[in-house]
Amino acid sequence: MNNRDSNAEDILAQAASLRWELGEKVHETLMESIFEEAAGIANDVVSHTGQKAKVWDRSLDWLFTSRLTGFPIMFALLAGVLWLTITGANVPSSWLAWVLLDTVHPLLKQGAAFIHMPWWLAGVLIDGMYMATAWVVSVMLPPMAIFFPLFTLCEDFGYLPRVAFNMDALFKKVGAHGKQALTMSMGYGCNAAGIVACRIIDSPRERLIAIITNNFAVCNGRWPTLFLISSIFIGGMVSSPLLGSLVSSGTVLAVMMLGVLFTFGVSWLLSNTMLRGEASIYSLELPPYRPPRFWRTMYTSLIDRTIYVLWRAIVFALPAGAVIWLLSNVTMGGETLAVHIIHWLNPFGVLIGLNGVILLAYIIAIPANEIVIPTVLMLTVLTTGTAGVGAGNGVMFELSEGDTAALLHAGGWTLLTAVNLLLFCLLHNPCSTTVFTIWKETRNLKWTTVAALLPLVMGLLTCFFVAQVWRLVAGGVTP
Amino acid sequence: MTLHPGVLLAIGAGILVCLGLLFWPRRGLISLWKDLHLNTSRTRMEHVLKHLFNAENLHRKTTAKNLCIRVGMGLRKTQALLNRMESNGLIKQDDQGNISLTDEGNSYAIRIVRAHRLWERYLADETGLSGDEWHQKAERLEHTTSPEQVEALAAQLGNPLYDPHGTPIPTVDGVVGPPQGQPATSFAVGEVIVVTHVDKEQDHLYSQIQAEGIVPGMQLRILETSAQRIRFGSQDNEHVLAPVVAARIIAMPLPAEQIEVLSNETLSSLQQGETARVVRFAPTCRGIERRRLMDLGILPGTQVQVTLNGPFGDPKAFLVRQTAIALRKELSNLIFIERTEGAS
Repeated sequence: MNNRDSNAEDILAQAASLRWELGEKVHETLMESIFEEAAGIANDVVSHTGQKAKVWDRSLDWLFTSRLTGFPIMFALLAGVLWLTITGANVPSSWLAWVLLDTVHPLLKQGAAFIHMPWWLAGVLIDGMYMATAWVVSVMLPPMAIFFPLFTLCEDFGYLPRVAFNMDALFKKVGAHGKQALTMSMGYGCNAAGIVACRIIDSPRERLIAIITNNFAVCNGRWPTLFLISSIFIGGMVSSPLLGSLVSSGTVLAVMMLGVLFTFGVSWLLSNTMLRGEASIYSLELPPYRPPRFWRTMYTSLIDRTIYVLWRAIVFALPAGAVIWLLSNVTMGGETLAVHIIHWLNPFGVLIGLNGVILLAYIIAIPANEIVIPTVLMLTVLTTGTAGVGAGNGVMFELSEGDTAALLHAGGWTLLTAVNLLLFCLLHNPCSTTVFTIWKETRNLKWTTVAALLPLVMGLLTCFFVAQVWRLVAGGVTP
Repeated sequence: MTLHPGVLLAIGAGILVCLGLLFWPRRGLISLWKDLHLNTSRTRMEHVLKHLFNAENLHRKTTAKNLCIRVGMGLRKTQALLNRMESNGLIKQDDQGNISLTDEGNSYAIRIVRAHRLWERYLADETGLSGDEWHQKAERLEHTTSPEQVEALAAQLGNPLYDPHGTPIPTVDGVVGPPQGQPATSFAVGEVIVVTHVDKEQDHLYSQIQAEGIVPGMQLRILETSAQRIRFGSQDNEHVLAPVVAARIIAMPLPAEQIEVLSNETLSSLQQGETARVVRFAPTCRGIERRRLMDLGILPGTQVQVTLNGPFGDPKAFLVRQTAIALRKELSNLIFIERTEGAS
């Protein structure tokens, strides 16, 4: 027994001393020989064809990545995809709105009246929950159903990795990965989808940067706000309608570009402060080009997106609808809760160049940014007591541009309010779907909190400073 | 209440500055306070033990005076600390004031040194921190890591033998292996060496080495050694350094059978369409980087060809085993190659 033990100890001691002799490269040497063996076998049994495809690939690569043609093609494609999404989504959006909001909603109300449903139950269920859900679906579904299939087609074709390759030098300067160009572009469709897409970034630090900064890409739920506000307040300053629409599109583009600037700035900041110690490694595979499978892509992404949008509408917009209706119908001391909250938020809102209505709308619209504008309109009617506009307390509605402008001016909006709303639309907390997705992707409370609060703090600060400088220049004093 | 926007602007800016002063990484009040908090008597004692351990390995004598600077205290306080350590049985002091470790002190010191070097190895392999931060960070972590945590760390890293500077990590049983490499001054004329590490601690010496373009992973032949200068040669280059400078280069002798051509070209210098064979990775290509390269099938012996230059010249795409893979210059600088002719 004793003998055996001492033997074992001898062996262990010898193993320990041999370790120093072998050094640390054992694993690598093993791996090298495995690769060598495998490569040898592959060489013997695999034959390569397709010289023609190689020539084709090379010329496409040259076209897509050369300095002369690479960037124009890239920007033209992005602009084309965005244009197709925005103009193409208008038709199905208004059709969905007509069906869900103008036809089904009154029918539901009539049905509720017919079975003598109590008014408050009908209010919460139909005016609140159904309305918010229907709204989110009609605003969100069409752009998603156009934007993402187009994106998937580009990806299937093999073009997207070349974009990441082209953009890498730029993103490297701020400590990020070239693939962030892709996750950012997807963010223009939907931030939650953009954050899921960050999985393609295989370096831990760069992936976190891409996740945290994705919110600076204005998602399609926020586009309506940008378009409406810049067309009423910025484009409206110019007398000719043609010039006006040019100015307002320019404003939207400027906000988007500001978002890109913030992406780079915050990426740089993060990579040099909070994320400095995270591991970082760069590699990018450039797969060969393949003809995309058009119909299959169209079908699967349409189904995927529809399911996704419906899930989001039901999980997040449904409760938000109930909250909106309850806030504007439950009264306390003769005033609705919404009015109380707005009065309470208003001094702070005015301080940062916004107002209480906007702040409350953004709090209610945390689950879905699509309903910011209808909520703002409804709350403005509620506080100003404008007669003859809207569909009742807690029921969201939309107006023509002229009527919206009149209502907002009546609500005390100025050019400063509009500019700050544009800024706040870019810089505020991500919607709850996005926050939830960040949590699912990182499983880290710290990074989720940072991603949720960093844009909000930046937005509040930006609005505050813009408001003070604006007032200083305008010579006014805060009321 | 109405406030002038100028006043509000000043208040806002003031609050921002205050927050910055508080939370600024490494220089803000909060991190300074944390530093202060770390400087307990136990940390000082552990620093003394570590210093003694290193000095004894170099057969140097240590007195209380030497230790003053090391622990940042006056002579009287240092002496008081040493007396306390002696009564705890960690050190011995003789009549001349020379201090040495007892067996107990030695094993304590080894535990701290092991934690320090393992942490350095971890920070080098698994994080994105730069070389000068490994030491500073490990210097703090070594005091707060329990022995169980140290062993868990070692297991996670695959029980490494050396820290990133090539110094051996003591084993659990306190065995300290031979160092990986010696100063470049200790080799004879005609020997071929491979650079494992370049000491960055003295800036003016390091900048001379940097100016010569000598980086870890390079293979050099010793051409001349004298008291005035040391001459190294590679395939097409010659470097002349003063011995003080050359001593900062740590290198290992290369066995005769491994000496092929002394090629110190890296993958980043390969131009479009050119082909080459990977011969080795620089030692500074470690941890996650090295693993990723191997995952991609880039190993010594692999054929590579440049297929595509990025619009700004970086990254470049390389054809590796029928797959195009883009790498940045920082990484391709760490891969040594040997040019080959024609297609792979």
